[in-house]
Amino acid sequence: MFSLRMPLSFDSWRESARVLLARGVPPEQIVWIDSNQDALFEDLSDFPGQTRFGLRISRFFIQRARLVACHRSDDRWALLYRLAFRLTHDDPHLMQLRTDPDVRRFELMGASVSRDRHKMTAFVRFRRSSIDGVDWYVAWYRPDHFVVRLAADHFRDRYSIMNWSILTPDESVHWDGQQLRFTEGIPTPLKTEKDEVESLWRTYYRSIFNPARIKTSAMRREMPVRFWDHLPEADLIHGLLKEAPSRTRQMIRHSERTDL
Amino acid sequence: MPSVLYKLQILADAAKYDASCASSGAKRSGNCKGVGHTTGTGICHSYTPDGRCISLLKILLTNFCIYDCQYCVNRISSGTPRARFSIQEVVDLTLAFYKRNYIEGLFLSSGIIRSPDYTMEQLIGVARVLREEHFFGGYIHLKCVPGASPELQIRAGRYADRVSTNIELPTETDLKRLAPQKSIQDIHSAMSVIRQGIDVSQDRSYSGKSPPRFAPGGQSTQMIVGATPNSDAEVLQTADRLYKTYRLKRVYYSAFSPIPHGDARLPLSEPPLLREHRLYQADWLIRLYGFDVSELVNASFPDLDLRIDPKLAWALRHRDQFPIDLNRAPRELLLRVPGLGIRNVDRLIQIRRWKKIRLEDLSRLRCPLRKVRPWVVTADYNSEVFRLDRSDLIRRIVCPQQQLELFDTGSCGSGSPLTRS
Ligand code: SF4
Repeated sequence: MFSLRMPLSFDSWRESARVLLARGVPPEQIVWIDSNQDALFEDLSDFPGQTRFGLRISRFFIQRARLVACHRSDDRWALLYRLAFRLTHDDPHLMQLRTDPDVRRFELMGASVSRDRHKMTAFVRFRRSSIDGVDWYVAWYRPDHFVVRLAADHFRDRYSIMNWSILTPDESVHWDGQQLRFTEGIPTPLKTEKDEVESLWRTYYRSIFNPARIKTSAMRREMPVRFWDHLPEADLIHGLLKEAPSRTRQMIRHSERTDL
Repeated sequence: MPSVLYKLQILADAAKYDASCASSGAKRSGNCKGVGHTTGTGICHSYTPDGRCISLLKILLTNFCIYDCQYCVNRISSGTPRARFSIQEVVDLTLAFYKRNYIEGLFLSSGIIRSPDYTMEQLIGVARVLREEHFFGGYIHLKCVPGASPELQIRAGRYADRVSTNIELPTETDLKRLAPQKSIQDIHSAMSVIRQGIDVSQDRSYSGKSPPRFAPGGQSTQMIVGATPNSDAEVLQTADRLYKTYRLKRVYYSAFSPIPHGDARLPLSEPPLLREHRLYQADWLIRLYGFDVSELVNASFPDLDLRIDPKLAWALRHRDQFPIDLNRAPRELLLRVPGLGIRNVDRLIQIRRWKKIRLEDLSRLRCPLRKVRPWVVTADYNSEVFRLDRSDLIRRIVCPQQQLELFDTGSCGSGSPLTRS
C-alpha cells in the first residue's frame, strides 16, 4: 500500500500518477492524502512491476480532469487515478461509457466545478474602495469548490484597466493592472464600507421585478441561498415577496387598461 | 431635476415587460483601454423572485411616448409617471454597474419621442459613447425603432451585440387594432435591414478580410400573447415565419402583463404563465428538435395542451410511431421520445457505440423514467411499453404532483425549459 502525502494540485497529481501508472500500481493500493507537508513519495522500487513507457491517455480526459481536480470532495484524486488506470490498462474507450459509475461521477464532478466557476463570475460583487488614493475594487466570495484560479483569467480579461482583489476562504487573487497575484485566503467577509452605487443597484433590482409573476423556485435553483450573504440585493427578496400580492392587486385596481 | 435614482426606478419599471435578458451569442475579448469583454455564453448575475435573470441593465431611455399602443403602460394616454435619462446618465450607470460585476451590459429601449429617427439616434448615441469614448467591451442590446431609417438601423448594428425589433402581436389585424401608429411593414423592413447587415458581416467569401462586426449576437423579437384572442397556432406560425424569413435568434413570448386576461381555456385561478411556458417549449421543439409547427398545432389542434408538454401531447396523438428502439433509432427519432432531451439523446448515441442501452442507463442519466419508459425499447425487458395503447397512459406518465410543478418551471423565459424533457 502506498500513501502519497503531498500538497496536491492537478500538476503534482499528474506527475505522480504518471510514475504509478507506468509501474502498473493498481488504484486499490494507493491512498492520496492532500497535505501541506513536503512531498513524501514512498520508494517505488520495491514494487514488483516493470515500468511501461509511452502510456497514452486522451486529451479529453486530461482537460476534464483539470476541472475535477478543483472539486472539494476528498476522493477526487483517487477517482482520477482509478479512471486513468482503467483508461490505460483496461479500456481506452471508457470515457464514452457515460453511464459507468466512475465516468458518471467524473462527469458530474466536472460539471459542478464548471458551474461553480460560472457562478463565481456571476455572483462576485465588487465594492469600490480607495487604497492610497487609488481606486481598488474589492470583493469577498465563498465558492463551493477550488475555482479561484479557474475564474481569475475571466476577471483579468474583463477588468484589465481596474485594480481589484477577490478574497475567498481558500485563496485570494489580486490584479494591479499588470499581473495576477495569488495570496492566502480570508476566512470571513471584510467589513468594507457600503458603496454608494449599491443603493442604485438595489433600486434597479426592486423595479425590474414584476410582482405579477412569482416563480421563486427558479430563482432559488439558479441563485442558491448560500450565495445570498454577499449579494447586496438579496436582502430585498423577502420584502418584495411579501408585498407582491398587494402590489399586484393595486396594479389591477389602478389598471388603466381599456378593454381590448 | 429629478435624481438618477428616481429616474432609474421609473425607467427600469417601464422596461420590465420586455422578456429578453440574453447576453449570449457574441464574443469580444478584453481591450486594455476600457472595461468589459463578452464570453459568448452570457452570464446571469442575479435573479428576481419572478424567476427571471438579471443579465443586462434593462432600461428605457425615456418612457415618454407619442404612440398609443393599447397593451403598453407607456402609451401617451396612460397616466404613468414619466422620466427621461440623459445619454451620459445611462453611460455612467452602465459603467458603474458593470465595474461592480452586477451586469453583463446594457439593454436599451425607449418610448418614441419626436420621431422614430430622433429616438433611434438617441439610442445609438448611448452605444457610441460607451464604445468609442469608454471603449466598453460589454454586451449591448439595442431596440430598433420601426420606421427609423435603414442607415440608423445599420449604425445600431455596428455598435450593438444584439438588436431587436418587436413584432408585438401575432397578426397584422391585431397590430392595426391595438397599435394603430405602428405598421407591420416598418417592423418587417427593420428586421430585413438587420438580417442583411448580419449576413454581410458573416460573409467572408470574396474579400478574405473579415467585415466589420454587426450584431454578432443576432436579432430577436417579442410577441405579446394573451392580449388578443389568437390561437397558439397563429402565434407559432408567425414565429416560425420570422425565424425563417429574418433568421431571428429568438422569439420571446410575453404573457400579457401586468394582469393578463384569464385564459378562457383555464379556470381563472390557474396562472396564465403556463401558456407562455408551453409556447417556449413548442418553440424549442421547432428550433432544435426537428418538429414542424403543423405537427404541434394545426386546424384540429389549434392550441397547445396546457396540462402536458407539447412533445408528450404529440406523442400521445401519434402512438403508432412508437415504440422507438433506443439501440437503433436515428437521432431524429430519439429526439421525439417524450422525456429525452438533446443532451441525453447525444449521450445515448455515444454510449450505444460501445454497449447495449438498458433501462438502468436511462436512470443513470437521470432521465425521467416514468415518462420515457412507455415509448422505448431497450436491450432489457420493459413492461411499460405494452401499455402504449391504453387510454390511461397519460395518467401513468404525469402524476398530479408533477402537474403542479409545471407552473413553476423554466427561468427567465429565455432559459431552456426543455433541457430535461
Ligand atoms: S411605441 Fe413602444 S413605448 Fe410607445 S406605446 Fe407603443 S409599445 Fe409603448
